[in-house]
Amino acid sequence: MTTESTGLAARWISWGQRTALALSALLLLSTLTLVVLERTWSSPAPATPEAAFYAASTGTEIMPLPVYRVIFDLFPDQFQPGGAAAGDWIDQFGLIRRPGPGDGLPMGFSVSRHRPRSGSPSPVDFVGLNCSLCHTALVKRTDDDPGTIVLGMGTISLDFIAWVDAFKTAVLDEQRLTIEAIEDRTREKYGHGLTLTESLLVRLWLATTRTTLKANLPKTDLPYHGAQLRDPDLLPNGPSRTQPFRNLVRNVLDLPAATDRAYCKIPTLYQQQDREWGQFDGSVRDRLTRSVLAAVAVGATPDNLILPDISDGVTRSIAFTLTLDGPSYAKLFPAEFAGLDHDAITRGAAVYREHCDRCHGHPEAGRWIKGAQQGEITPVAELGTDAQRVSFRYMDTLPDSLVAFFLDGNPLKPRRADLRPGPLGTTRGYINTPLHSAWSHAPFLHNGSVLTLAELIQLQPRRPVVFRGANTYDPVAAGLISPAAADPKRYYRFDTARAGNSNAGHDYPWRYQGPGWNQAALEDLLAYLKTI
Amino acid sequence: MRPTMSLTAVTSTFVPFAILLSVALLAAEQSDTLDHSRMIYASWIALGFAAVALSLFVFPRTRAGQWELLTWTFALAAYLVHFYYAFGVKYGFGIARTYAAQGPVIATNNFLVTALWSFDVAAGWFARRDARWLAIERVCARALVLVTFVTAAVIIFDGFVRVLGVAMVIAIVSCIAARVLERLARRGAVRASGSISSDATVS
Repeated sequence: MTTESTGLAARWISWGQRTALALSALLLLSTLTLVVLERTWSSPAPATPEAAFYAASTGTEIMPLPVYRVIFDLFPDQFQPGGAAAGDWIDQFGLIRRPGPGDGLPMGFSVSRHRPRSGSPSPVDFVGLNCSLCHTALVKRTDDDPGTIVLGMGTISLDFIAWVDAFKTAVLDEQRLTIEAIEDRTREKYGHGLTLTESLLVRLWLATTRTTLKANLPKTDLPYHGAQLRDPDLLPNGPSRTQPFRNLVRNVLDLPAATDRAYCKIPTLYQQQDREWGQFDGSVRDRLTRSVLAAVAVGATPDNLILPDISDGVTRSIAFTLTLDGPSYAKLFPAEFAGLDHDAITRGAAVYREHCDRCHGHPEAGRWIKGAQQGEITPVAELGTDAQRVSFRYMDTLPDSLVAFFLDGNPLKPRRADLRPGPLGTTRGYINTPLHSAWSHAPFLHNGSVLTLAELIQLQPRRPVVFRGANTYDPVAAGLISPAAADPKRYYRFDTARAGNSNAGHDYPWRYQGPGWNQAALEDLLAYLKTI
Repeated sequence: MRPTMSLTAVTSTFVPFAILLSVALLAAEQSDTLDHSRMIYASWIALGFAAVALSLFVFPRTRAGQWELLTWTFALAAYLVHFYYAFGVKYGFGIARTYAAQGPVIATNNFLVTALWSFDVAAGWFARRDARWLAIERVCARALVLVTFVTAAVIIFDGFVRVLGVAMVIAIVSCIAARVLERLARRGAVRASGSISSDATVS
């Protein structure tokens, strides 16, 4: 009896051991299969530099495609803050519809097989942001004009920071953005639900993204929502501007950057081969570093940026901008160009050579001739423009932290000498840049506080208050048209009296109606500026 | 040849190894750095199993036994996963890149550890165990692995791996101390039995 019991127990133990071995081996085998399969999920970078510019992943994936397909329907209160009549979320946040048939993604949104932050391979498509989100503009003469999409031109309509707050509000809403709500809306819209893989990925994404957003709340505060998204008291950036260093301070220094007022318009990216130092204050030299820091400000990481297809995409996007020509006034506005007085252009060129060429250079025989002081920093005290951009808190300590943010051995680690303030001096002013397609740099000054070239050169007085949004283009004054009061498409009140918004300074050639002011010469100069 | 493997020994070592390695590879999915996390987590498992194997190696009765060989083998398996993510994924199987990033001392040491440890495990499973050169190689391999793990876990890096490294040091030192005490006790017993024996002779 005892021997029989012992034998039975031994058989049970043996059976149990074999089962445990088999199950653990199966677990390990499944895991290793997953690891191997993951390597096949990433998508290669687009083939050409131009395609990379508007379709490559820059390591800034934000949400799974199945979520993207329904989130705007689930949160009209966040993504249509102007009401349903003001258009869909693309219209209301100033994005640009991609021409032709496609997947419905606007310019700057692209699909990849990378997960957010880690860049890990994903079996489900993720929607991310790329260079063309900010550096592409739609130039329209009227609201009904379909307009012309210009790659490399800074956006004149994108209200990105407000969009990010709307998105965060939606993601943090645990009552409404649930897997069930996503599943139901998908079924209503497409006639089928999520696949098992999609469901798993969406659950994982919801959990990790919410955790990250909540962890960052002490730095970012709760996002604004609904009508607040258009309130300049709460969101002082407004359309076509960003606060790049606020995000870098948050992401790199892990600090809230609460006092940051360093608002910047989105710059043009033409002929980057002519730019040694980037940023409005000339604080970043290496082109790759500029793009990497821009991506990090939007959520990319030092680790995901070195993944081969992301790295390729960034490198090709940069290559695209090296020789990218700006748009031609003559092509976009042929009637107005034909109406320009050639004598006035000739006289305007002389005015330009006398007052502008030293800092900005000029085009000649298809290339840009560098001005004597082009590329140098003009001190803000001399220039008289808004100083917030070059005096924000942490400006002096941020470069060291940016370098340290990238571990030794990371090929993207910035060289300290490529950042200022640093070994190559400080920047308490704004860099003198070339003016390829000058008319398309609107709005003007680093903070976008001057809407037209006519106002920039002080042919016309600068307006203290303008309204921003989907501003149409005025080829006569060479800049953006602002209504006298807010309307559904120009909803954002831009008050130049606010900190960071000053439109003063850069009184060249002369202050408006001040000593030496010459209206005829300024009209000639404006005519010439439309031709470069 | 290799020791006979009992089902209990195989189960008791492989099951935790398979579960831990699977958890390590899957847990990294939640991190911001998938490959880097897998590299790190795999090294923790290698360290844990190596600590057990090295502790068993201290005692002659468990040295080269089935438990020691199994834990030493699974430690190597986890280490090879770590090595794949470090050398293969992070540095693209580029020897020059690895040397540039890690420096000549660490890179050379890591390649040497990988080669010697792999050889040692293969020898443990397939070679005759009574060869003197093999005994020397086994000690050298374990000494190199121990020094490498302790240097990396306790001196170079911090965080959870340091806890593991310190635990490894404590475990091995404790085993060495136990073995020394055991030997002293045995010598004492032998001496005592010898004196009894001589007394008896005199009487």
